[in-house]
Amino acid sequence: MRSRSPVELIALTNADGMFPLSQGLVQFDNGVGLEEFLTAWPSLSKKLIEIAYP
Amino acid sequence: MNDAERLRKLFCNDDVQPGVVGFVSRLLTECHDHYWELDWRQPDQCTFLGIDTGTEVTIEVPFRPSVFRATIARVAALSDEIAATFRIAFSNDPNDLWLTIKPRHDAPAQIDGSDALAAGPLLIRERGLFGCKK
Repeated sequence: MRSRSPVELIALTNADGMFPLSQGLVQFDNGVGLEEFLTAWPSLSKKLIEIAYP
Repeated sequence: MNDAERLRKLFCNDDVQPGVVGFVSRLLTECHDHYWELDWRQPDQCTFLGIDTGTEVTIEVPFRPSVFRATIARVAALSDEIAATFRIAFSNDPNDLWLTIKPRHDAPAQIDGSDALAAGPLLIRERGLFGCKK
């Protein structure tokens, strides 16, 4: 399986239209983007962001 | 369009009200306008009970299971705002997923522009799926 870009990975998760990015959540499921996400994980650049929760 | 056709159409994605947020908005509007009680206890199947008519319509849900959990989470995020209009009960435990929605008898006769439901698209922009500001 080829490694995909973050944009491609996000698009895979919304193939059924139920999780558009506008909702603020990307949902990786078995058969709906999770396998591709795990394949791409080692090559994805990562950034830790500290979040202040009120 | 009869009840079953209209209810099945609810579960089709909608370009105007997309995603889980749009689906929940359409679901609540349908339950309110047509006085349905929703009983949803399996990810792939739910039942609408006509409160006045006694009609029962079971729908085979076409969504992947995680959409059911996201739907419950969305209803939970809205629960305070819609408490005057609906009686809501749910469990979002992975081993015990269920959702019931019942319109209140004394609910407003019609959803208008000031109602939280009519503000669905606004909620999409301002809050995201779980009510968190983006």
